[in-house]
Amino acid sequence: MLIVAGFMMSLVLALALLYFMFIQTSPDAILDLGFISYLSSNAGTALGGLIGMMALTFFVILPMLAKIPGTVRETLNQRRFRRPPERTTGKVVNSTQGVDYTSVELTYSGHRQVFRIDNRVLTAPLEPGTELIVFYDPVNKSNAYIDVLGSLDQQHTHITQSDTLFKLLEITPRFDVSPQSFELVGELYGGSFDAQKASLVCQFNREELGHFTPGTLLPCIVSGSKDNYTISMVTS
Amino acid sequence: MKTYGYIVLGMSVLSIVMAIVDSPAWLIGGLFSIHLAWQLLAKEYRKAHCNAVTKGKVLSIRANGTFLGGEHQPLHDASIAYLDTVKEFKNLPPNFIHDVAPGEIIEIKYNARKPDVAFVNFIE
Repeated sequence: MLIVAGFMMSLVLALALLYFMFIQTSPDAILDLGFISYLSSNAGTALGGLIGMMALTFFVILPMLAKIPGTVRETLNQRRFRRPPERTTGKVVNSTQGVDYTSVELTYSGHRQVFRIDNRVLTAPLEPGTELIVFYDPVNKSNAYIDVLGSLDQQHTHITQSDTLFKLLEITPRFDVSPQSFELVGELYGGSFDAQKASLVCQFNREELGHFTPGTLLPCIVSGSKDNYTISMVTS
Repeated sequence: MKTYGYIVLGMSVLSIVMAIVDSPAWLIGGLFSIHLAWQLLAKEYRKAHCNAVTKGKVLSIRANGTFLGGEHQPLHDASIAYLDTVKEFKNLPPNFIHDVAPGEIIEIKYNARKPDVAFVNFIE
């Protein structure tokens, strides 16, 4: 159907082109001498030109015109900010993972907003309390976007530069939790949790097991109180 | 490219003026030259506004069927996750497939006021 429509359109455009290029611009004297009837009686030459023009319109002009609606739609659907966006750190309140997208509820600058993030952007599920970099419109705070990978990169840098270390004493598979779960038992060095024994269950691939031999020192960040604390460390 | 773009833009302005004052036949050339000027200048104009930098994760790369100078130099399209979205970056240079693999993290330059406008910060 599209090909037929394209063919018809190219015929119309080619005829219009022929008209504007040859017939409209020809002096009346030439037309009076029978230029049109000459063209019709020598259909071979005229037909060749017409086919050439149709081919040109079909393969060049129509694809060019066909791109216009897509370009316009893409431009209209783009997210826009009237002013340069402000950067802040938001905290995940809650997240719900769907088939293709994850709905993430975030608080930032006294505002609460639900974002729909493509699952391919996320490297791991977003836990409540996770900090993410948010860029928002200072005039309209609900007009915002998140820098997910930038946040992870920032967190990674923050952890690797931390003065607290986790010394791994023991690693035990925890297949009762999942096939990729391992329990790390170790001791914390530095910061207010110095000499505290800690144990955590992590998930990582078998190829990464080489990084976790007893005695390894892993940079980490510990937050919370002595009884109830959270350890963040980079496992890959 | 910019110089060629400006020359073609000049030609398109001339064609449009001539289409008004002389013959509508000029419109055909005008449309062609506007399209060509757009292709040559739009990318440069957008790139000039992409000053923010972030990380992007390459999800997939595939040859898009167009070639640069020969069959051994195919252009590529890549799906890259950046900020909170996934975008298809089109017509990446032939050496992109040799230097970057799916799963790798690369630098993306984007327009902070229009985050959907972005480019791979890649040396061609």
